[in-house]
Amino acid sequence: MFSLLSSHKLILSVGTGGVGKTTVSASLAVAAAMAGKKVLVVTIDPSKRLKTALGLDDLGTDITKVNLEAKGELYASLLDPKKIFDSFIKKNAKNPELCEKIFANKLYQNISSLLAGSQEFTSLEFVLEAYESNRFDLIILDTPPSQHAIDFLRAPQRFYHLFDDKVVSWFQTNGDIGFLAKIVHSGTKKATAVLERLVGKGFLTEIYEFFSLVGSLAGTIQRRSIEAQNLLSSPEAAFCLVSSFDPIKTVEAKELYRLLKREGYSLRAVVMNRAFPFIENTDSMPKDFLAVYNDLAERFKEQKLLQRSMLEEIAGDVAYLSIPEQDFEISSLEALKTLSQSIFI
Amino acid sequence: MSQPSLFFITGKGGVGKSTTAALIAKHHANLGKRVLLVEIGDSSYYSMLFKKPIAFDPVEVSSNLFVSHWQWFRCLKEYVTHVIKIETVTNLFFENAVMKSIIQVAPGLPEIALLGKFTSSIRHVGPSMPYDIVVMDAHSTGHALSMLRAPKGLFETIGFGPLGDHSKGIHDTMMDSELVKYITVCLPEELPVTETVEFTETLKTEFKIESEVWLNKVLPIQADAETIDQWQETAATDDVKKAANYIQGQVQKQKTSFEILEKTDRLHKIIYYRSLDGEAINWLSNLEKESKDV
Ligand SMILES: Nc1ncnc2c1ncn2[C@@H]1O[C@H](COP(=O)(O)OP(=O)(O)OP(=O)(O)O)[C@@H](O)[C@H]1O
Ligand SMILES: [Mg+2]
Repeated sequence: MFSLLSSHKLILSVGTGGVGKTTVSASLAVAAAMAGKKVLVVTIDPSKRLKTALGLDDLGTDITKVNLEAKGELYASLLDPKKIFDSFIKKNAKNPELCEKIFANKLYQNISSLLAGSQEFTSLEFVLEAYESNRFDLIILDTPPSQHAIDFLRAPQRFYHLFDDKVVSWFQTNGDIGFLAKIVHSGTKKATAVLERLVGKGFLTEIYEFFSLVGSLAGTIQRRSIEAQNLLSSPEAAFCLVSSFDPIKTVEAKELYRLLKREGYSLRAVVMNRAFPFIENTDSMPKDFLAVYNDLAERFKEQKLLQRSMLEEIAGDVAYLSIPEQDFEISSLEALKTLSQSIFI
Repeated sequence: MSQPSLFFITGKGGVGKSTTAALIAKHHANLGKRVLLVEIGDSSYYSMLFKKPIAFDPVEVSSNLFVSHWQWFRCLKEYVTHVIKIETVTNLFFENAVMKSIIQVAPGLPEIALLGKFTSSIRHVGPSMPYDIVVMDAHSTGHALSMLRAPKGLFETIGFGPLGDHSKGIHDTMMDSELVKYITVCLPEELPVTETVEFTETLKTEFKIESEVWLNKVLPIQADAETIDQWQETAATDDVKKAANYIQGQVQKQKTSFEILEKTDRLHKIIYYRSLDGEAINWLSNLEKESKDV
């Protein structure tokens, strides 16, 4: 685990939802700070108490120093896709008028929740900026929850395809002269008529405006997405796959594992969370204790098989770690410290 | 056929939404109802669970239990065909690159397409869905809220017009507690419980929806805290002590969860059953049987 923390500048924890990615990312960060690094952990959806523990209550996206006694320093930040997008526009719009127009557009106002891939794009944009600033030895990104962890790697591409050259230039050449008046392509003309029947003209204007405004940033969006992609596939970045002992989650984790390997990302660690504490020797247990233990061990027995099948899958250069189910809630810095000490020594 | 009852199942990621939705669907199918279990999202979980390819057209996985995977795009297409009536024009619309981009930015369109199909039999729109019960394994809580907000958002943004009118119809149907039953799935742990309480409060204040809470993966531990205390104290080895700590931890977590959630209107418990092995249908039956006692 320590080589994971020391030989990379960016760690991404990936995995399907509900497996404890956020907790694992936070404790990795604590471990790295304890070991003397200047670390930034970027998270998207922490619990309220974890947020409090990290001092993120009302600071939002701003990078905040966490009050942790350590050899290094720990910083944390909460991703707010909308804010990041706003500042991205501010920074990259050609002039303040354009910026204002974009902010006033009704579609843009809903953008963060609506656009496929926009959340992933903004997370990467944020990380890329932090990386370029050279302020940190290590950045740990807790990837946004998605049904399928692979989405995270695919999403930015999907996002900039939205602003495909053809589409944007279509909006730009047609807008000024009256939206429906001068449509060159007859297929699009028919399709537009269908759309107008569905949504009405007023809304159509809003859509047109959105594309022609945000579309003027399409080139920048594309460039930044590619830069982020390059960073992810460089040796500077490492992936840490988080999963839990569950048959279907394990299947998904294995698929993700293969995909990351195949596409040449440096996958360095697989973490299986919430292991049941199986014991070898139960001789000393009182009868009633043994009965309860056996009942639970029976319910969780498959964990052993899952562990074996996961270990068979992963290659020698990938660290494997199983984190036992904790008997305390991991919602304070102390708890994080305890956890990180118990797993990373 | 009279109008179907709708079930909308939500909950935090990984708590067992899909399992609970399947359990509820199976339960009603056993009672002789014709049930459609629907999953949404990009890929199909039920294909893995039932070991059968599940797509848009319903598949009967056991007697009276049909499963279908709705992708929003397909639902939207069905809807547009219904409004436009000419399939070639619809195809033209969906194959057009510009339209593709527009569809992706229209606010809440995916959500509305899905809820539109979910409520279509009640609103008498679109192809008929001959079921007594439709159970939707909806997205996790945050996304479920945007789903419930979408129809209203759209008709407020675009106003009148066919899509605006439909959105209003969808909204009215979804808000009618006679028609739709809401179930929030939760785990007996602090975080999911806190979030569930917040979520059910939001449902109540924002939409006047009363939801049921189903607590999943309850461990049936038959020992009280004092007894377990003793196991912890007298543990002879480190391992045994760890096991005792673990059991005590679980008992405490569950106790707190029950206390908090019993204050909500209705609480159902589902047991932690052995991980799925073999046939999903049998597994679901056993899960239901065993959960009767907790
Ligand atoms: N009562 C139970 N006993 C044992 N295992 C269970 C139980 N409920 C769910 N599981 C297992 O837990 C895992 C997660 O459950 P499920 O897929 O239903 O959750 P979900 O909320 O739908 O997850 P997601 O948010 O990823 O869609 C599944 O592999 C399932 O088999
Ligand atoms: Mg599911």
